[in-house]
Amino acid sequence: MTVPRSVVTVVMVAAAILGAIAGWQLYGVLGGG
Amino acid sequence: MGSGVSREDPALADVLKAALGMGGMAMCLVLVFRGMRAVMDVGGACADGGPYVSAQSCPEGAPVALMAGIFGLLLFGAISMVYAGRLGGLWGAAPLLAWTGLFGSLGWNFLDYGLFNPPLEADGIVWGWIIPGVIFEVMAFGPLLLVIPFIGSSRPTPVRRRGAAKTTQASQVVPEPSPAAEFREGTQALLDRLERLGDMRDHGLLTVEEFETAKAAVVAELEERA
Repeated sequence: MTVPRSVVTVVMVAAAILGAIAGWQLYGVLGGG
Repeated sequence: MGSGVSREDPALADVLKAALGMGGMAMCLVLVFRGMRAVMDVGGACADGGPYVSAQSCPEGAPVALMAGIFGLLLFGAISMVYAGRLGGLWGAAPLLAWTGLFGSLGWNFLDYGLFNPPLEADGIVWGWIIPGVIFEVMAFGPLLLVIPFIGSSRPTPVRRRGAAKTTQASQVVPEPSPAAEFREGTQALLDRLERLGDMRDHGLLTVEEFETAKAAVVAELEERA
């Protein structure tokens, strides 16, 4: 199964944004402010 | 036509793994960014454990966040480099943006605490943080500015995805024939002519003498090319 290249762009940008949000939340879980 | 510069649509599995790498790198960048700010909040240095008692204990969560962020960047960076590389095109280089993200964000921390929000005990701006801040920003955006002019020219043009040739200019799709290719085509045309002459002789359209004369001309031309 293949993915159109335009969709790849959306997937990558979404992954980066979700990753950043996850990092922010994870810092709180680790005990940081 | 399958080669390293293929522009075919990528496989779903490769896209998902590359996305995992990119998302993981973003997560680790934020962990390092926030961990560094927490340490700078307490003066820029801290320590815990060991035989000595540090005057400044580390903020809760910061040491784990920094260690996890740094080693996570290496892990997710490797994953994204492998799988984004399989996507081809500009996505192969996208994980390198983590370099800009890392030094750009940490450089901002130095500039923020050194220039805009210096610690209360500091008397005015803190040059010891501004200088590394400027160096980090140059490290972050210098390579990016150098690479940007070449981004458009780095796209492979001869091999394109299915159906794309219809919408592209002919000059981009049809490569100029090389001298070696021209030589091969010319030689093949002479050999074809020789074959046709043989057929014409076999069908009685040429006498043996006429065939021999024409054949000698073609052979002479072949020898000239060689």
